Amino acid sequence: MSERNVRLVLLVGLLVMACLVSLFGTDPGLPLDLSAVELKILTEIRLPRVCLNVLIGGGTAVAGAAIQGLFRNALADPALIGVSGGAALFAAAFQVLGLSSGPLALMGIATFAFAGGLLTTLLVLVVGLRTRSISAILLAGIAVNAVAASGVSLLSYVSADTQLRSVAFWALGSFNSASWSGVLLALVIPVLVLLLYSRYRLLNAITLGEKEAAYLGVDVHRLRWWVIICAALMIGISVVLAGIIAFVGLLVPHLVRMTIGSDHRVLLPASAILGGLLLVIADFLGRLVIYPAELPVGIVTSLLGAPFFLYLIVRSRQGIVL
Amino acid sequence: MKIEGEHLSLQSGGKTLLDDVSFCAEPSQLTVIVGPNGAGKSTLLDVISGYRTPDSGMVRWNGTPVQEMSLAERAVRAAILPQNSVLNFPFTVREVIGMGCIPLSPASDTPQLIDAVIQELGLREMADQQFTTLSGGEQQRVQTGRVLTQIWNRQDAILMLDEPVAALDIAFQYQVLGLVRRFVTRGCTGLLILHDMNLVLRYADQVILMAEGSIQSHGPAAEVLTSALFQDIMSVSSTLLQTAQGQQYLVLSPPG
Repeated sequence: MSERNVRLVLLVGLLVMACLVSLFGTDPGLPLDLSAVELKILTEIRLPRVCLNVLIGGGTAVAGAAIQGLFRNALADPALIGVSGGAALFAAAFQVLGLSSGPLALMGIATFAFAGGLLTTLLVLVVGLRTRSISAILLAGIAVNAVAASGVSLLSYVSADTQLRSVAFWALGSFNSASWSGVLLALVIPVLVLLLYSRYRLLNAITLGEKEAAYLGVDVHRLRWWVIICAALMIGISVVLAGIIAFVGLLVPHLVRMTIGSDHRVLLPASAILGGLLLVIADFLGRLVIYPAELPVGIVTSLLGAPFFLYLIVRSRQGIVL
Repeated sequence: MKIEGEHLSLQSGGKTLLDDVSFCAEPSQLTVIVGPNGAGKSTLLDVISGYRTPDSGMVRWNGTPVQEMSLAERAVRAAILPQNSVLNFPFTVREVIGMGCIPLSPASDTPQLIDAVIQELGLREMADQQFTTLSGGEQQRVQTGRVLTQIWNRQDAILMLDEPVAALDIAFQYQVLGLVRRFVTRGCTGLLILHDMNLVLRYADQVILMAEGSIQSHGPAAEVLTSALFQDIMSVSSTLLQTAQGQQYLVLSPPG
């Protein structure tokens, strides 16, 4: 087995262990004699929650890896295509502006947020694609994101206290409302991951440059749409189910490139596994540190991820590429 | 594969980049485009390769208009390296070379092919190193190897390289151009942009002299490089010297 495969298997092992710890707590012996209530907690609350951790963490990290490849920029975050900011803004608007009692109430907040996220991505694309350059999309994304973020801030400023908590849910991320129906929806994510994976050679080619990729026979325009739509759907579903989870999409692909490799054939699956692993750990810690209350998972990922990221930048002489 | 350009014109941002350019590059010939900065050399390669569509005129590869060929059809017929290709992700050298296999059929995408390219370009010791840690010249050799991989086993391909030896030391300049020469000898159509006129003299069959978006002169290297027009356009005086062994050298000096 090659060194790469050893590391991949190691990651899978860690993921399984983290899931078990998150499910059963830190008790050394596996509790086999569960009471009916405990069993219900395990199967109805913890299990779907851990499943969502894995699916959403993996999806976000894969979206990050693909977006970074597409933009040829390791600083690109999947949030840059606008979907998460847009979804959060629309969700906040839905609640604070009282749309939930109006004609749009039937749509439900999740559908409204999802539609908002995709609409925002579309706006970024329409603005960005007016030029041939991929960096125009990046710049358009930064601008649209800033508008969305200030919109969320504005809404939380004018909102009542009770609404504020709910706005915070979207902006900070939480797995508090995890359920099996959520898991069912999140099963779309692995399908999208596989769709992106099927294009791994094209993603490799685009990192060489747009012209270089075209000379390798890659339809850059089509790949752009393909990657952005897949990423937007993955992030959109994630935001609807768990709010914005910061840093996973940026950090995980970096870690994989430094430790396993840049070839998208391994980068995408390894990012999926590591993204899932990180979110399982972050969510577990979020439940633990201020027990019985919970820390929003987005805060944990930023708190843990950002310093670790700084450490990596300091430690590596040439590994971090901008 | 024969390349023909007919009356190619291209404007961008109010500037004329190409002005009624017509030329022909034959198989088994190495044609080198020379000219001052901003003459339109790289733009001409963009148009010949089909990457940019001219405002008027037509490019044909073996008689077929290049715009009627799909990107995939072009990629198996032509190896093209643009100027200053930048890759910022830590792929290994082997992985970068392997990207040259993307347009090939899965059957020809083999470790043996990649090994052969690595060997031929003198990249063996750095094959498993990260591309981003290499020097500029080493990166350029890897990129050249990557595009050569595309046509490694073809006899009739097109090879277009934009300043492929700009960052190389002298020994590797000869090695890379010698390799290009071998592709041309076996039937490929070579089209290069070079700035070192002694390399042009040594390797080129045909020289195209460009200035201000149009072709000023097209002919055998020794003729074009010593012409009054060349001296005028490049603002140099050029004299041909010949050693006792028959090797020709071009002595370039400032005018006057």
